[in-house]
Amino acid sequence: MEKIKFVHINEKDNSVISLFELKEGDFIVLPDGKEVKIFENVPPSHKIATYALKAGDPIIKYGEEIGIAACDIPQGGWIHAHNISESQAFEQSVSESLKEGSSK
Amino acid sequence: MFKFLGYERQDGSVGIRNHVVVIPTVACVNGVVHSIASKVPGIIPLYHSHGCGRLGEDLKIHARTLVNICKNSNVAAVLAIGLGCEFIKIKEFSEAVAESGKPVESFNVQTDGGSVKVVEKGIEAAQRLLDAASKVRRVEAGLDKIVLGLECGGSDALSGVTANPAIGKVTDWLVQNGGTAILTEVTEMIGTAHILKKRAATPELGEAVAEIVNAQERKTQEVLGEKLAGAIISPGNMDGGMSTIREKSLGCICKAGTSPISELVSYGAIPKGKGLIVMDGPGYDVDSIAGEAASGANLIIFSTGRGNPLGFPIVPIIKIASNTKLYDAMPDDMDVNAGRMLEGVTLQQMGDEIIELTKQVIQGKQSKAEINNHDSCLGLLCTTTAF
Repeated sequence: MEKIKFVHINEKDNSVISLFELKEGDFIVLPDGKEVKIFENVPPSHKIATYALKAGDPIIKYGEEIGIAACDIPQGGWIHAHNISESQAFEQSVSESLKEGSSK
Repeated sequence: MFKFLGYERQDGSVGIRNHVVVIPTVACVNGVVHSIASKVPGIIPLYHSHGCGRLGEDLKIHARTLVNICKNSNVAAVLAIGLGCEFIKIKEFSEAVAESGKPVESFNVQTDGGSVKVVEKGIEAAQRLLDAASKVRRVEAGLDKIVLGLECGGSDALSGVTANPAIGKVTDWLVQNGGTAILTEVTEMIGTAHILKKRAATPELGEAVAEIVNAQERKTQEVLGEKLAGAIISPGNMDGGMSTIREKSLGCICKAGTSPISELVSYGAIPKGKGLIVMDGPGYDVDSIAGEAASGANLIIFSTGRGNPLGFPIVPIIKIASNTKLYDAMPDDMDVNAGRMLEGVTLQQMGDEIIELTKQVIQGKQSKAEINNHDSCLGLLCTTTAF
């Protein structure tokens, strides 16, 4: 049997979860039969866009919005802190806290 | 329609286990409780570190939680041991438990001859209570008598991908068949207030649920500072693929499936109705499961990615491993390997497998945590320090 590559948690999701590291150029087949080419290397248990997203589009997982795309994300692209607005704001605040802490 | 042979209680509830417990009303007599329990096979000690030294909200929380744990449908009879000068008075405690109609006996160490005499009297009382428990009538009951506590502890990146969504299938099955499920761990709902609000049965309830989640967020910020509060999503979570706090929280609340939220209760309070209940409790597992048991949970399903052997003295806990590595590392602690979803088992198949085991455990099959008996003492939610 072919190894399962990803999990699509909710039918409304525009993201799927990789189950092991997927390489640029790999293919995954969505439950509706659509084939998605992996755009870049994606680490295990991270999110992959099932179609191209524009900056400002909601990222859907568990059938709910988990964040907003900070930039355009191609189909098969890796979705994570680097391209989600909320995560960027959060990472910035953590990094500021650390700087503040270490300067005292 | 699924039926099981349960233990009939006078308050209308039906237990899936028939335990006799010995409980201190204050931690000062834990040793007395231990002496009784070690000499009477079959009686379960419910150790805890409370009963005095706290006033206000914490006194209310602890009194309610300890009484309601004794009222749990899995408890047949109760032996209460008091000291005599504690805040939680043995007379009032015993009367409150006896309202449920189950046999209660009690002793006070200061007025019943001291600790050695109370151990002797307690052993005799324990025998009487075990005898009473053995005569409890077995009745055929349906899923409307099941109250399922939902828990996740030692989560990993896969908890919200494999184990928790599969547990959501169990919750949906139970609630659709008239049962009750308790979703708690409010710390792990942060960021989802607006989503839970939409899932409530009425707008008023939606507001109330959103408020406890927002209050928890404010409290987290008070304790950790506004910036560090965000660290509840840790670098480890981030490396594991969680990008936002909301994403992490959604992975937790998906244990509750898709049913509407029918009621909100305080920590350790007994719901009035059935369906999906939200309990205002903490994320810390030991405190959380005690609150669920007090709120009536007669069964708990617990997902874990790192592994946790935690049992609860009166409630069977079914452990769901989120990954195969953990399942293989702790085979005597894990009941189900949801990591098989990474090997081709579908979400529905995994849900069905857990439902099948759940039915067996309801019918009496012991879960791993029950077999191992690696229970903790009762952890109770505290909102302030002791005086």
